[in-house]
Amino acid sequence: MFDKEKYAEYLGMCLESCALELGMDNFDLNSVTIDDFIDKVNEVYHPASKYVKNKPNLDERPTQEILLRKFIISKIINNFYFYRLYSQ
Amino acid sequence: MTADSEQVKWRAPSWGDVCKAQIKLSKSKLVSISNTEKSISQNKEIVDYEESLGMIRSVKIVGAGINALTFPELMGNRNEMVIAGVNSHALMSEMISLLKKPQRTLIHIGVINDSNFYNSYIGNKIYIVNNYYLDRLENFYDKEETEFEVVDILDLNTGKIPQNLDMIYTLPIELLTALNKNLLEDLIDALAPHGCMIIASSSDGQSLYADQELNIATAKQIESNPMQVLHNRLNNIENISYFHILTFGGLTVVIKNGI
Repeated sequence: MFDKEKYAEYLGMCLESCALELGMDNFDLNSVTIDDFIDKVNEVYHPASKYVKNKPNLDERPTQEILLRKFIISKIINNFYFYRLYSQ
Repeated sequence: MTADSEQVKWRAPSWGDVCKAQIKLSKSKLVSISNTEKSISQNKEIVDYEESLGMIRSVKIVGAGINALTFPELMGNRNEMVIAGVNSHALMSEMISLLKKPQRTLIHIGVINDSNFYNSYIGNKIYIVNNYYLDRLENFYDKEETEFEVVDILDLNTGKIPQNLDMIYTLPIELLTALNKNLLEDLIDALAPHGCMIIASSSDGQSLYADQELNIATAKQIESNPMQVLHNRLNNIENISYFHILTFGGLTVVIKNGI
C-alpha cells in the first residue's frame, strides 16, 4: 500500500541534496514557498532556461550539459510539488 | 504536361496520423475506446483531487510539457496527441509483455494505467515502487486490486532491489534524476538473463529526433539531447542489447543477454 510519509521523506532527501548542490543557504524545505523555490532553482540554473528561451541559431544551440540541466529542473520542480502534496 | 506537375506530391504523415493508424490496425486488449474513456475520467479525478487539497497547478509550477504533473490534466482534457501517444506506447508494451510473459516484474514507474494489463500480462510476482504512480494506481487507476509487493523507493536507491527480475517498466526521468546516480546500471544488474527493461518516453517528447523550435534534425541535435546521455550509458553496459523503438514518445527496450 502506498506510504505517503515514506515517499515524502525520499523526496525531501532529493530536494535537500539538490539545495546543497544549488548552494541554497539555510534551506528549509517546509517554510520555502513553491514559487520561491522555483525562482531560486531558475536563478541558479539560469543558463538552461535562457539559452532555450532565446532560440539561438543552430550553431549556438545549448550543449548537452545545459539541456540535461533543463531536463533535471523539471523533475526537481515536480519533486517539490509531490513533496508538498504528500507531506500534508 | 511539365516535369514539375508529374512529380508526386507526397506528404509525410504526422505522428498523430501514424498513431491512429497503428491503433486501428492492431487488435489489443488494452487499447480500446472504453479503456481510453475510463482513463480520461480517472485522470480528471486526479486533477480534481489535487486541487481539492489546495495544490496550485499554474504553468510555472507544473510545467508546460508532458510530465507527471501535466499528464493527468492533458489526458483529462482529451488532448488528442497525448491520447494517441499513450495508446501507441500501450500497444508496444502490451506486445512486448505478451511475447515475454514475465513472471517477476518491477514497476518503477508504470505508464500503463489499467489493472487488466497487470492482471493479464505480467504474471505472478509484481513489485511496485512506493511513489506517486503507486498512489495513483491504488486510488484512481486500479480499483480491481492487483496483488503486488511494495518496494520502498529509498531501498531501491540504496541497493535493495528485488533480483532475478524478468521485466522492469521505468521512465528516463526517474533514472536520470534518482538519488542513486547508478540506478540505471543497478536495475539492469537486477535483471535475470534474457530479462527485459522497457524505458518509456525515451525521446524526450520527440526532441531527440528534431528540434521543436527550429524544426530541424541534425546529428548535433541528437547528440546534445538529454536522452542521448541515457543511451550512451546503456552503450557502456556490457551484456545487454537495446533497441530504440519509434513510438510517439519513444520506447527503449533493454534485453539482458543470456549467460
